[in-house]
Amino acid sequence: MKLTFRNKVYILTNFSIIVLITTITIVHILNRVKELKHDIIGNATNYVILTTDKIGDAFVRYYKSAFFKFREIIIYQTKLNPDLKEIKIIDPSGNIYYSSKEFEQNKFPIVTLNLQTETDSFITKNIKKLEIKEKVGKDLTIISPYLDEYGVHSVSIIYYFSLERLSTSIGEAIKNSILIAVCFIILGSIIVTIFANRITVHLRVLQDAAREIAKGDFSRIVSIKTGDEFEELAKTFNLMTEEIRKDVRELKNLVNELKKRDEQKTQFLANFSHELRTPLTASMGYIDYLLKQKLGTLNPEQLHGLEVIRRNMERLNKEIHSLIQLSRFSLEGIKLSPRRFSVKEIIDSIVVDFAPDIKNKNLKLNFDFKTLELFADKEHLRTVFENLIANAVKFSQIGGEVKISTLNYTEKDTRYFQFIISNQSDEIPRSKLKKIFEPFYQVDTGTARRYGGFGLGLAIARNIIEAHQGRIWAENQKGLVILKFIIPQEVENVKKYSDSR
Amino acid sequence: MSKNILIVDDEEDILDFVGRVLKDAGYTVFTAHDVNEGLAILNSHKIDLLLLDIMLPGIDGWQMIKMMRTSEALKNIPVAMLTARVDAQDKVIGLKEGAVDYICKPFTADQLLQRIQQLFKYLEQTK
Repeated sequence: MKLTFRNKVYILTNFSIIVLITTITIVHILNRVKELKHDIIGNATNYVILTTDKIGDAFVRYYKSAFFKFREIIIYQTKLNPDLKEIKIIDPSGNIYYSSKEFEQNKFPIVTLNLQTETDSFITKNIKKLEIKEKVGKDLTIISPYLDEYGVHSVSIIYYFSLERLSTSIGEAIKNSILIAVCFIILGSIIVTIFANRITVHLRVLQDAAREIAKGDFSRIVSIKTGDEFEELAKTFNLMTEEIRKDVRELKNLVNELKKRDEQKTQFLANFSHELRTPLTASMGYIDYLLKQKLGTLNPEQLHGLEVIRRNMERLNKEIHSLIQLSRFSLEGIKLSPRRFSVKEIIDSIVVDFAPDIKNKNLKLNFDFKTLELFADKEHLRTVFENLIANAVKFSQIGGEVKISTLNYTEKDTRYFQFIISNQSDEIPRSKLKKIFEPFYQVDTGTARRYGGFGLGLAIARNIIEAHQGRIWAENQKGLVILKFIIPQEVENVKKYSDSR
Repeated sequence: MSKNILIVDDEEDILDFVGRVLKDAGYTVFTAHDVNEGLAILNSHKIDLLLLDIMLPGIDGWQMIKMMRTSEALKNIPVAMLTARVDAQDKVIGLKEGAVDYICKPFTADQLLQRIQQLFKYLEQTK
């Protein structure tokens, strides 16, 4: 069971009160018992001292001659103490002469008394002074020696007192004490309840405020005016809220600022793209239109000149496209929309586009397809294949061989797709194998002049492959430059994998 | 009967090129440099297709489509966006706004005519 702080305070304090009051009550009862006993014994002793002579005298004087007189005196004396149960008169040898039991036993009048002998050693020993014997909780026996006028110890008088009054008094005392204790406990628990509530009221105020803050309302201020730790706590709490409020405000500003910047970036990219592509559209559109002789017949020199313009515009367009694509990747990231497609189909269509270059360089193309389908972002991967094939064609020796192969394998329950493209050319220095995937990188300034281009194709390919949770790299092998990449065959698997991470 | 096509673009050279190609192909061509001019032509002539640039001074192409969708007379006019952007996100926004097609810059005369012919064919079929 879970105890609230309020209940803990309540239970603990109540328990303490009960223990305290119970202890006080028990001590009180014990004292009262002691007092009462002392009282009763004191009374009895006084009574014995006062009556011994009278009873003794009456016995000596009247027992034999005027028994009724003797008895009258006994009756009178016994009535003086309510605790007294019986009086016996006994001689030092233990012979009982008289017992006040005769009244109870209804043997009135007694003609002859059977002399009995008391064998209790306490009673029969030769006593010289008052002796008291108490049977705990039951009765009290006092034996008192009577000395006659000549100083002779002729008889002793035995008094039996009842201690009943003591036990009834104790019972009464316990009853009263328990009653008082219960009253105290009830009163105590009422006070404790009020106290516990008072503490927890503050706690609840703080809790409510904390809950509001958790919901995002940082304007909440806690007001507790108790002058104790709770007020301190409330102050600290308010201070904390203030700090959080400041931080949240700063964060919100920052988020807004970032959003604004992000919007600016996107806007910049849109403008950038628009400003570069719009003039290209009008120029390339008209060049193409002119070349098709839609605006009149052209002579061969004019057609050649226009063809040169067209080719260079096309090149410019490709570079601008790469530049915009790479800018988008770095400004907005890459969003994948995976779907199923055939690798072979895509590569075949790309190769058709490169047919003029392949023919110009007299290249031999060699294919080896093992994997036919992929589940990935088709358009992005088309760009990768395009860029890798363009790269191989561009850097290949004249009359060389370009080899394209794909394969698949399984590793740790994930199926992977690997693409390999090699071309015959000068090897890339080992130290530069990684750098070719950096944007604007050319193996050397010489090649930059020889081949032209920004060198963005491989950087774009790397961005796309990495977005597919894949890897791309370059190798040299006996006059061959080989580019390879690996991606999971099902991009969905990758998503699950990265999610669980 | 020849189809009426309205081109809205702030670039004079684009209007010139697209206008010439479409005229040569036998379409009747109207041109406008901004949204207000475009809306005025839409309201005064029966236009069969609107070729709309996205990035226009003042009110942009998206807003023009929104304005057209609120007008009973203009909301059914098909729109093809001329855009320098090619990413999928723009396409999604465009479809929500009710654009029918996209023609990405740069394009050649053949590409443009092919797309427009396909578009009219599609519109005929869905009528």
